[in-house]
Amino acid sequence: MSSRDQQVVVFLSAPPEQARGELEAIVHDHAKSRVTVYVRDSHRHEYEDLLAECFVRSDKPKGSKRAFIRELRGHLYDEAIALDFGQWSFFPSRILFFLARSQVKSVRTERGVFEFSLLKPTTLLGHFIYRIKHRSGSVGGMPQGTPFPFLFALYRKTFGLLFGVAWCTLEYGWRRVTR
Amino acid sequence: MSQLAGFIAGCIVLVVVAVVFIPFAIVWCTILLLAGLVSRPTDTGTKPSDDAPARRTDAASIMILNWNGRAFLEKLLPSLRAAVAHHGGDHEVIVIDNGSDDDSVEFVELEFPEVKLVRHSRNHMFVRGYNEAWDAATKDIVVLLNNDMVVDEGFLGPLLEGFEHPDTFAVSSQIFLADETARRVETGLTGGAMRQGVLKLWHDEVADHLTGLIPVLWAGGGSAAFDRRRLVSLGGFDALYDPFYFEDTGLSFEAWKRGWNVLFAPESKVVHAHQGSSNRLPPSFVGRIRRRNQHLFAWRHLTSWSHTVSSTLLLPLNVARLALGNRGSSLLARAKLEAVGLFLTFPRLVLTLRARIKNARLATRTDAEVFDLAHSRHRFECLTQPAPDPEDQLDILMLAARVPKRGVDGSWGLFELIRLLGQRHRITLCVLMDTQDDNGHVDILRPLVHRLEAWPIEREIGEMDLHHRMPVHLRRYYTSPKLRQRLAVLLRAERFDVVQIDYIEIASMVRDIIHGTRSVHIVHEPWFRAEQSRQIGGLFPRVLKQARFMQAINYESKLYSRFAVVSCFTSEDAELVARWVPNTRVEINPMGPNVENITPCPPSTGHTILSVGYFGHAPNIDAAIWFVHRVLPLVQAEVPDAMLRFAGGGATDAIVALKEHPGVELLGRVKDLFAEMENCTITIAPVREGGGLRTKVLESFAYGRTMVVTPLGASGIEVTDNVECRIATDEHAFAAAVVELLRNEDQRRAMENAARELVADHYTSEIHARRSESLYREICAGTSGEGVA
Repeated sequence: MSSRDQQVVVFLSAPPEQARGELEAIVHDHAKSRVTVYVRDSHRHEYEDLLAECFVRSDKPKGSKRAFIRELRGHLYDEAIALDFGQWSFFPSRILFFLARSQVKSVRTERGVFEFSLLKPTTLLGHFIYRIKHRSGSVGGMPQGTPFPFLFALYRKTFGLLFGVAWCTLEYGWRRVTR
Repeated sequence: MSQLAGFIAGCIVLVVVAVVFIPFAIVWCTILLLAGLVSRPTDTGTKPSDDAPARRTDAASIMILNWNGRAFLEKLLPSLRAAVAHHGGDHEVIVIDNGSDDDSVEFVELEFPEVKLVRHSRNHMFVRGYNEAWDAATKDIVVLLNNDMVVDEGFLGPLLEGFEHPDTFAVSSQIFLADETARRVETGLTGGAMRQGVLKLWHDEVADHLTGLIPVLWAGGGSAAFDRRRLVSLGGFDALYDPFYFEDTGLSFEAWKRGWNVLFAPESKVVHAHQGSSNRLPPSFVGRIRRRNQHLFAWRHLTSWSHTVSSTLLLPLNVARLALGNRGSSLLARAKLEAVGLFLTFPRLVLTLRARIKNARLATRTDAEVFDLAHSRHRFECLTQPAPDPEDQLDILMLAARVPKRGVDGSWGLFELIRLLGQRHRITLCVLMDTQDDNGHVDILRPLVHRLEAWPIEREIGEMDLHHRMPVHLRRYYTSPKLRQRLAVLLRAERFDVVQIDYIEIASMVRDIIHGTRSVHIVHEPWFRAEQSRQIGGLFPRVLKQARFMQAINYESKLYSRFAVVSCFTSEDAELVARWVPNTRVEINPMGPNVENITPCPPSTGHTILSVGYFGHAPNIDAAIWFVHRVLPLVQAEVPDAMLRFAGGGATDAIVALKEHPGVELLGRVKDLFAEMENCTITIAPVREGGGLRTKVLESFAYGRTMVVTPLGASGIEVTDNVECRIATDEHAFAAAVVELLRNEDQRRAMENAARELVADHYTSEIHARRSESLYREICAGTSGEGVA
């Protein structure tokens, strides 16, 4: 197999100011490979010059989500690369990274590159613990710095919503009676 | 691996601590609540205003606590000597030596013989060090300085001037750090709040132009002046906090609660080496003492039920939260710090309870009043200073959630108000910028006002809102902690006679800091009315609409009640607001165009219909779609060459799709509205949703164009059907009115003249500005006005 046959998929799961440098390095390191890049439509212009030699895909499904996933899994890549600098708003792109079929999966972070594998639980857990503390932006619609944001987000969207609607109705009723 | 092991060990410690402290939290909460019942304020409590002593403000005892700080004294004492000479008062300088091992004492005796020395046999630390030296001070005012300070030559004057008001307890200096490259972790402009049961304290940034006296939560024990007699009457620094940390916060809070004031004088400047002495102690010891005293402060001083419950029952959770939330050392080390800090409170619980009961009886202000007063200069001055002279030029702060633009969208009403009031008063305008285009509009505004602050909107979620109390749009876009902090600093530090807040978005951001002030909220469009009038079909969307309406009503009712006056543009809006917020004064003050600057168009000809508006706004989108699909075909059946033109930016995909319809043209944002008005025959406002005043109607009238409107479109404008315009409800009536006006030139001409006259007589920007001015003066004078019944 010639090196040109190597297939690499990159998920630009970080804001352009951080992802640009990483993409530059990836394109340079895989100059002889076929590089597919999943990118946000609104950010595509930020990488215009780097994407000339790449296959560019939108990370947002157009039409059926199932078809989009099927198409993603239709390719067997030699390497899948995701970026993780703590911006959780890019979570959907990272889910695509998990779903992509690839022999090697690597994650580029501010602390270097590590290989993602379920056979290396300590690496994953260590990174997860580090990320709980070192993240930027809000998670799950919770204010930045909220401890256990997923738990709060889950509560807000389930019991919080039910309680909120009930309370809102009662409060509104009380206002109507007393106005 | 070691990091992972440390994390797991830390988690175990936190879980154990949390479980162990649950019963303590319940029992301690019950005790504090019961203590609250027996310690209610009594009328026999010493009221501060009754016993305010006559004090000399031209002399001070300047006290410096020193422990092995010769190197610091070498810098401080010469600067102090210069400051004393500069002020010229009858001051005394006292150095309290805390059992130094170095030659501090000898140095002072030799180099500064005028300095009085008080010598402790050993290091009593901060609290006892000062408490055992109060007797040495002979002046009415004591200035406390850390030994690692260097004072500015003029630092004494502004500090002592603050005591000219009889209720002043303490005045704090502005602090600069010796390391100019370091972040200013302390400035002297102090604030604090209880957040989920934890007391948070901070220093706000100080703008260069600040002058006068600003209320603060506490005056730092290392750079502030205190009324000596009141300080001694409070027992000096509370022994509860021995050896250090929170003693100055506690003292100031106690003074606030007694009815005295704690102020900040930005013009009094000192430079601090920061933690010059405490850096010599083990960090873990300092950290534990700080955490212990943080808990003790909440239990000792915060006597409201909500603070009592949150500071005790949330304790197990907060121990974990603080350990997880802080950074630096390992989780295990942080968990230990939190646990030990909490355990260290135990020996002082009885002392805390006694002090709490004793002082609660003497309190004349509640916790909420203290936090309110200490965080807003405007609110503080509203309560403590006489109202400004109604004839004077007013200092007006205007807060707007978007940049007012001249002749571009509906914000021209605010632009005109700023233009006119800016000629007569000092306006500080603060606007939020959304796009790059706003920069140009900000430049147009700048010469019209005294000062302009334009801040970009930060799209950062700052509220958890776990139970969906807040409309989603407000939560998503207008809860940025940074922006709220900037607004809070603006409102807390600067002096204004009256504050005007335009648009609900920014009103929502200042809701916690605006009540009790001379404030006017301009309601451009009540959200609940917009939600209620939304044209939606289908069961689920209707249920959702009702839920949103209830949410909006609940939220807006509470929000509006925070302002002194709520001002609406239309009587319909005002009556609705008054009905839902009965205890708030509601006024009607419709905006209007600058008629003098609008040249009436020549008489209309042809068959062109013009619709003006911002087509990203939901009611305008609905109106455009409704008219093109339901009304225009009926019109074109009668007048085949009838053309419809949309003038305005923000067109959504749904609006762009309308241009496929025959006879429809999209002009986008137009630079010269006169040209478009000149080329049209009539204008339309087929709005079926929303509230507020349709500025497009007044604009059209001012240009001398009549129009066809829905009753909602004409809301707030005293028009008569067939005199200034045609009013039509359903599509057939609307189409018939349009056709009639397009065909009947004489009728149109008469209505054009009447429309222009109506605006010139009743709805000009000058009338709007005069009414606003009169409202401001009424608020400043404290008169209640009639409002809407």
